[in-house]
Amino acid sequence: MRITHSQMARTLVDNLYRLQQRRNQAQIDLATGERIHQPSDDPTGASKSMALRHQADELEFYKNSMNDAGDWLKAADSAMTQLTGVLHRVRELIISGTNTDKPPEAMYALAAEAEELLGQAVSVLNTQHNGRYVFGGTAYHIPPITYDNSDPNNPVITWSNQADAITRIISKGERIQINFTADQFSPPGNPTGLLDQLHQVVVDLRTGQHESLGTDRLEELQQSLSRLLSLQSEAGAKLNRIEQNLARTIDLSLNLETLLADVQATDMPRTLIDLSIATAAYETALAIGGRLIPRTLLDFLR
Amino acid sequence: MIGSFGSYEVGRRGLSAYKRALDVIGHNIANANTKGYSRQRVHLQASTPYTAPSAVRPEGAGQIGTGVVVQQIQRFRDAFLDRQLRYEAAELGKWQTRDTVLKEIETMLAEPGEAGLNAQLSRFFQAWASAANTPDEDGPRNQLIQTALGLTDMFHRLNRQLDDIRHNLAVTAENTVAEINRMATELSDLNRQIARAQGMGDQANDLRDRRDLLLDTLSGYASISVQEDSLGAVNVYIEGQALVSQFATNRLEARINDDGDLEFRFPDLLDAANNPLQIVPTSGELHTYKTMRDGDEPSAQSLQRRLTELAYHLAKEINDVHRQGARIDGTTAGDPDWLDFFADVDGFTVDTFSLLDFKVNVTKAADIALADAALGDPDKYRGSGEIGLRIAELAGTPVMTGGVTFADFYRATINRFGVASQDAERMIENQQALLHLIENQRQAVSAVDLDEEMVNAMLFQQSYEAAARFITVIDEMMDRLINFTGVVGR
Repeated sequence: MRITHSQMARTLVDNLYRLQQRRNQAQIDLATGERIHQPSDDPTGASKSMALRHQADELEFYKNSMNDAGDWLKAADSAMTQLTGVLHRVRELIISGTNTDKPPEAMYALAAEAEELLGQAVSVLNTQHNGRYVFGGTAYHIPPITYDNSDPNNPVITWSNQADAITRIISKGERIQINFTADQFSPPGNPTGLLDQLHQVVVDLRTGQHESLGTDRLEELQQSLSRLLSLQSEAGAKLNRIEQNLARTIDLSLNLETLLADVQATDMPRTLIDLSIATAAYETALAIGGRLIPRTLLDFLR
Repeated sequence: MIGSFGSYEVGRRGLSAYKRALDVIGHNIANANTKGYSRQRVHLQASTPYTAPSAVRPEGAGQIGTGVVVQQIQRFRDAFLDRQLRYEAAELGKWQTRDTVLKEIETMLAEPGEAGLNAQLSRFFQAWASAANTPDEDGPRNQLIQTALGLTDMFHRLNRQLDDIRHNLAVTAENTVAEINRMATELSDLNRQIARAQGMGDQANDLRDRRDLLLDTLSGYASISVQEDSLGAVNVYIEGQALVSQFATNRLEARINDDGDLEFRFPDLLDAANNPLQIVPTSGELHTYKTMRDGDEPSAQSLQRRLTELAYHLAKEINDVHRQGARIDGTTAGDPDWLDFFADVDGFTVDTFSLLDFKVNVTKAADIALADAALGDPDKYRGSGEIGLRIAELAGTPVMTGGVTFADFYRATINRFGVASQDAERMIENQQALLHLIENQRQAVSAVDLDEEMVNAMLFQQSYEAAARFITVIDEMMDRLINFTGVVGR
């Protein structure tokens, strides 16, 4: 084939251009640490990377959601612990009230303490978390229990009638109810049952009903305590579930980071080697071009 | 024998032939780097020999040579390679333009990354869930409105940029067509000049080079075919329709038709139905302008349609769920001051919806209905985020056609553009390699080689000197004959 100077010059320029392109790409990949800058760099990798980023964002959100759910449940849990303390103390009062030797003054004192404890139980049921009533259902701006004891003999205890679920998304397609409602602490069908019973304890103590204290009151209190225990263990189980889920989610997001790096990150050693090869080729091309192009027959004619 | 002075003529012919040969070499050297130039070479030929007239054939050898003439100045060119190169140049033009447009779209989409729609969609749905987790706080609700505005803004920006791209494609197509028409006129002028030169028996080499160069350039714009007639004029067909026929041209036109599509037509030619004759470019830049503007996926228009479909379904699905909700103040869907989250899409179908119709309708935190209206009691609405959670869950629900989620749908679109763009890059590389090969072959035939020219120059120079010396010889003979003959013994 006939080869002319212009062909050689053109070939040289084409080769230099191609090598410069490779060097430039390697430079961009190395300097940014990423190998996908736009979808065409690797369409499959790009859509994988987008999906992974999307997933990572989701996981980040689930984490926040779970932490929030955990806070709610912990608030409920600690309220329940307080309530347990209150009920235990009431139980002691009842037992000591069954003692028929107690003089009326001592019974009055017990009644006064029991009344105090009733007030405490009300305030525990009206516990707030971040300014929201923990046991108030979705109407958490309304105190679930109102307790009006302006007439100590006949106090008015009412329930707000709010028992709707509050839920959190804790993973894809998975929701968890994070609230307990005030009525759950009372026997079914009587949402203020627990407090009514406590009031009855006060009345019995004050009026010295040793008999009924030892039977009905103690029995009722025992049931309330076991109801409370089962609610608290439910809260504990949920907290547990959330903690496990959280740990798994953190694992997952670490995994995702690794996957994302696999897809996105520049393979440094390989790219560096590519760059060295391209640079060596580029310099060789320049050196050879520098010797080839300037020479013609004219240089050798006198 | 020709007369004594005839020998001068033999020498003179040598001088003038070699002078011309050297001129051609000078011309070659001068144009060694001229684009589209083909090297030229003189074809020397012995001139018509002389037969001495006589009634009776004389003794001795017959037919005496009369020297040399330049029979023609030939241009080195391979028409087959030209044709091949033009076909591949059209393909290259097509892919290069396609690549440019696709890269522009890719840059605009800013994927994969935090600035893209993918990330904004994630943020948007999470904003719903965040608002739902604290339904009685204004902060997360305002955040949600801002994120939603960011989302619609992004759709509007993409829409505008795609409009710009489409507009620019149409303008570029018009400019290209103007250039094609200008070249057609130049081609017809060259046809006339070449035909005139050929009519006088000349080769019109340099005019042909110019014409070939024009045809090379023209071939990048569209699929053309070229036929040369007996006069030396070429007929140029663009997608099978005559653009240049001999000395006349047909004007091509690019226009936006009533459907808003780009079309190419010859306004002065009529088709069977008496409408201006349309052509559909199959290759070259014109092909890309058309397909990237309003073709099937991937094109600017198809991307606009895809985004529109996405926006339509986003607005529709979210509004549908939002309507099951209740505001904190108790307002539910159907109440006079109820506001849909996005501007109502019920009056549209996917086809009539436009990205500009995708707007956030709510203006303040309290307009968002996060509570489940089924609770029925305004007191319960304050702490209910049920609707917000349901909308957040839409992100993972396959609501789009084909059973995919919003993000999947968008990602599939991006993927298709990525693949197309990568394809274009690869095709450009292939085409460039191919063109380089063909161009090399063509250069092998047509390019000026300075070494070769120098060798030939020396050769012709020597011949020129020898011819001059020959004239001196004849001259000395004549001198001897005229000045010294017949002076015997003087």
